[in-house]
Amino acid sequence: MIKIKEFFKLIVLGSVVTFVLGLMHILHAANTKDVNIAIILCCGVESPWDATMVESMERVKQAKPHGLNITYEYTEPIYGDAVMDAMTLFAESGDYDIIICHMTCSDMVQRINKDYPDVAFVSVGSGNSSKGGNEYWIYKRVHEAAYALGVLAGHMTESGVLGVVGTFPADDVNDEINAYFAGARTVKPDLIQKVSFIESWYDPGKAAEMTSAQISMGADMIFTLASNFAACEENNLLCFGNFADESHYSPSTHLSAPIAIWDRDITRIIDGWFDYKENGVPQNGNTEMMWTSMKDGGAVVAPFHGLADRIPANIRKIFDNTVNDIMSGDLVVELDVSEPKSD
Amino acid sequence: MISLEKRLESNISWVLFVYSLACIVGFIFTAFLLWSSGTDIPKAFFALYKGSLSSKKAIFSSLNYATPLILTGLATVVAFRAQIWSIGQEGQVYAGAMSAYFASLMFYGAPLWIHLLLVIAFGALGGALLGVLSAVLKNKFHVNEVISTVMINYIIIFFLSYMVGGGPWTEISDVNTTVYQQSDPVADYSKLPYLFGSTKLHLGFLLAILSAVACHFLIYSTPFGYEIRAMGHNPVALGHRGTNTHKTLLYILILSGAIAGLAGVTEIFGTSHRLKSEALYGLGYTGIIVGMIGGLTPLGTIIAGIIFGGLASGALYMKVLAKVPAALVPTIEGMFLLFFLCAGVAARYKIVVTGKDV
Repeated sequence: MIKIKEFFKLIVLGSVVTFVLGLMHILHAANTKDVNIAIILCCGVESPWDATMVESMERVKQAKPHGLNITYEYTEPIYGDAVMDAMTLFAESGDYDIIICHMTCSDMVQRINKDYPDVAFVSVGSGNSSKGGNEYWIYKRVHEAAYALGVLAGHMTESGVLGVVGTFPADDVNDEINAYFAGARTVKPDLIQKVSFIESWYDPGKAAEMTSAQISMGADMIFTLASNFAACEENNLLCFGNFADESHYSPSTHLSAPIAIWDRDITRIIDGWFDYKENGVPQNGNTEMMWTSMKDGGAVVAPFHGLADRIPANIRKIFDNTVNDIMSGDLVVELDVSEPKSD
Repeated sequence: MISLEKRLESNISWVLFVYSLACIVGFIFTAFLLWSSGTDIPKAFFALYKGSLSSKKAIFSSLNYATPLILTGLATVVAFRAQIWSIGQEGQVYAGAMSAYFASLMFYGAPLWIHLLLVIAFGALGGALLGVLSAVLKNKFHVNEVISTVMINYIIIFFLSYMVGGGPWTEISDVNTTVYQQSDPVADYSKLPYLFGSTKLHLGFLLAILSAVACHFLIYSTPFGYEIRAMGHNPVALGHRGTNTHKTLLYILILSGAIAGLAGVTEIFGTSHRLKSEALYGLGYTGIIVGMIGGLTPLGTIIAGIIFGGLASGALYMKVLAKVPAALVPTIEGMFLLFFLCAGVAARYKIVVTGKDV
């Protein structure tokens, strides 16, 4: 039989252990109140691709997932092999919990991620792969929003010729161009499509040349993925931008754009990292391509701003219905990543 | 009275003085640029030092960045010494990389060193073939080499874009990213071996140094080197001597192209390990600056290449640690080019103080 003295000893010991464990938990939890994120940009914050990531990060910061205080910083444009040096530099400093490389860089991530197991490494977009663990991969498709804008363009074009100025013919570029034309063809099956690629991820000069060329071939609405509206202004045409709302560049011509929203993707990475830090659950980055649909908040269509009056009410209604159908899941936009060609 | 006189022979102390002065003035102007952009100047210079020289790793990184620049700089030296203004180094880098990649697929399975030698040889061949094209256009159709090389650059860059952007060398990933601007990774045994236990510096650096030594020997110690220099001074006189200047031009452009092609090999098989445009972009054009700053001498090009490699490695640290705007880095490089060109001119003159003017 246990003596009373021993019984009290056990109670005291148990209390001390509980207290220490509780304290450890509190201290451990205190360590995961903050998360510091580095974003390596490819093209500069003025480019839509990079701008949307930074904007999304700011929204996630305000949302404070898990009550985390998020601090982040982004770099000047870095590309090529220097990206690996930049990632190593951030990881070595020990100041960053998540390193987002906003471009094709999984080759480089896979060379260094095992050396920094506490850090979550993220590659973004096409040309990547992921082996999981502390390596994550974010993908983006805005083809559903592009489809809706295609429907709009199909109704509004007078010449029946639609032009698209693309960057490179890549998987996540082709998808939205094809969807745009598919949307337009639901209205005008005999539509003529013109496609040019500037062979650069960001070159507004080349974009202007290509846009002018398409206009001279009869296109009266241009979907530009390459951020230049000068030719649209010169010809007084309505144009669509891509990825970000760039209407401030050209309020008189920028009608709308499919917009990339990364909030869900960023939150998913933070969730994985937080679970690892807080609960010791090993990081389990996705090995398959993951993208968030329009219905789930992965993309939206930019507002028409001051040009809403240029859209006839009946066409506006058709457009709104298309968007609503996509959002409700009644309309599933086909994913076509084949390289689009001019007619 | 103080006047300037052209030197009949170069004076090494004076040369060192003017180039050091160019360096100092370059750094002063860099500081001014950094200040004008609101950057913390000591922090920026410390970041530059940290990224380029502060450790063995940083030095290896600088030498790695220097490797293709030394090679494209040498390609510039060979052509420009003969006053052949070839701007084709950029395209020749791409051609070399593509040709070497082709060899790596073609000779897959060959014994390691034979495989590597074939990859390197095909790289040189690819660059050389573009040189032949420019030479033929110049010799047969009197097409100015500046025009032809720039045009060929565009063609070859877009050809690579086709090959890896939907063409036969496009990466087919197992995760559905089917079309992208890169090839599959090169096989492990095609990669250039790393040197000194580094994971940065590779065999390509030795190749660059050997090429520079070979170019030095060629230019200063062989009849062909004499013809290169003579062509630069007076091609008409060279023709009267009995030299077939068309043939000389052809050989010079072949050699220049082959060396530039090697730069493509080192970059793809030593660093990026995939054939992709972004890994090659700008190496040829920067090589022209490197060759010019190196005084159009092979050994000077090694020094200039290493300086630019250090700048490239340090520039990243400047961007990340000191938030130096990206656009400032090429501006700084351009400024150094300007001051070094001035130094190159100043090195050929001397200051003479004479008595009173009468």
